[in-house]
Amino acid sequence: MKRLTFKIYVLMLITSGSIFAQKKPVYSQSFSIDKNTTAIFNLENTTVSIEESTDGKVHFDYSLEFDGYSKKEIEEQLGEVQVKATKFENHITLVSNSVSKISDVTYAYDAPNGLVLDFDGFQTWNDSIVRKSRDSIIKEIRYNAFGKINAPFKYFGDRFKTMKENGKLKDIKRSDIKILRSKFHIKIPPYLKLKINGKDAQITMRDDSMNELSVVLKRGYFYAKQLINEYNSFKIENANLRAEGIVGGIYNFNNISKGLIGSLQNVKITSEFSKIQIGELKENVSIADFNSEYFFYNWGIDFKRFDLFSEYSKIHLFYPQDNDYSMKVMGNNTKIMYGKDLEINMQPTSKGVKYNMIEMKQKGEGHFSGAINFDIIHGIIYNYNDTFKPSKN
Amino acid sequence: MKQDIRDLFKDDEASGKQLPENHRQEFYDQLKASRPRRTSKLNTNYLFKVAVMVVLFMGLALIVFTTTDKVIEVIVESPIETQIDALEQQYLANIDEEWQNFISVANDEKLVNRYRDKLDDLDNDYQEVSKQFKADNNNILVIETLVDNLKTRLQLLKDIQEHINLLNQKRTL
Repeated sequence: MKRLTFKIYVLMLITSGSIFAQKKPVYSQSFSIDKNTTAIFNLENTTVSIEESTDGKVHFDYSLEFDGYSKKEIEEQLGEVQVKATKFENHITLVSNSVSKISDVTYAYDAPNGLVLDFDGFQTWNDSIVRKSRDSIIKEIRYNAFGKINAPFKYFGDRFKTMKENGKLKDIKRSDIKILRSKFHIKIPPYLKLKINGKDAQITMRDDSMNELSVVLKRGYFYAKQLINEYNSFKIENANLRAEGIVGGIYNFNNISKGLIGSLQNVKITSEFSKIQIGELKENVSIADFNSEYFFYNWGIDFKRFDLFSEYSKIHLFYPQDNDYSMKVMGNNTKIMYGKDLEINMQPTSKGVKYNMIEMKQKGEGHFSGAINFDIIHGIIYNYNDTFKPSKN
Repeated sequence: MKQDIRDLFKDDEASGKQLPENHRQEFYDQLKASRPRRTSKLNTNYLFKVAVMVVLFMGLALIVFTTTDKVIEVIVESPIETQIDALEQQYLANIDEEWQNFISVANDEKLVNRYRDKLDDLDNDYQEVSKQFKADNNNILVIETLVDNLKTRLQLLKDIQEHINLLNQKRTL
């Protein structure tokens, strides 16, 4: 009985933090708009969550929730945040920045013995590579986007420890961590033409978006559901990207270290130094890449044509499973791996002449989904044999 | 037995006596004379010494306070700053080593130039975030950004070498 009472007491202590968190309003503003309205959001050290507005207005609603902060610290933190939205000649401008980085959940540690990093920065993960379904990619996107928020204390505890007087590491007490939750909700109607300039910004689009978006993001992340607009233009550098689906637009990725995309359709991508997993390649996708690592897991029933132009790229290729297709790989100085045993090498050429490395014509049986075309130099293509059968062509 | 209480004092000797006119003043004078006399030990010489000591103490305190403040700014680092410094040195040494290995195996000038530009770009990012870290050194997001930056640079160099080595393995076609 005493043990149970103790557990309940501990549980109350742990949960009391969020109960006693103080929510402070930072900014609130609304604007009526029409179909010709444009907007620009300039975000620095800011985290925003963008949703669809159903009342024809743009809403900005920003508050910060402080957990474990003194009154003075709260005032200081609020003083560091600057946010203002204006509307002039049917154009809305939002400027939001903060002196320090503010994430969905921002942790600060304040204890006498200091903080000790308890994760191995040099550790690399070598997961075995298997085909992932589009749904599993989407599940991964949703977990990664929101897992950190759902269990913030665990997230922190897994990475940092403090030191006892005898020099040994110990878990950090909940009471020594200050947690700052940012809730900047922006609602926009689907017809608003929006430009976002982000620096150290963390942007989540919580609903499928039909808006015409022009996004430039340096550091931070961009998480989205479906991004559907043929005029979308994205330039993302040294940041993370997760999107459940992208339909239409031009995307430029530079050092996207953890790219997860559920599906791509009618999209042109230019990329470099990135690592991107794609759940499903649908119609008319084209990628021009330099030295990235791509995972092509699945193919749409009518992907029609897929083009890859690449240099120094590493491609993990899973073939279409149920339908007919054709494939042509041309280039030079490229290695094609089939499991561990079989490999095909294409010699480098002094004049950069490209050769046909492999050609698999359509079998003429069943539904023809489309043509896969690789133009690749200095590349490595890993073929996964869960569906591969050597072609007789 | 009932009687008027005023009658009881009619024959009393004291009841007819009058107090002298200066009785009250005499009483105060005697009271004042009976107090122990407080002699002031302060003299001008003593006051001068105290004033000199106060001025010296304040001057010394001012010098010590400003000097100590500067020393703290320069020398004292929180444990996390020390760790990040150590981690940075360790990573930069590894990055430098991997860069030397990379340029020794890469025979494509275009590739080397693009890697040089990318690493410079990431280094510029690191310097920017470092400034934030100095101003806000217990923000975990800033710490993670710094570590990720170093990790990315090292991983890029390791990956491209692995890539080149694989391409350079025996060619069979």
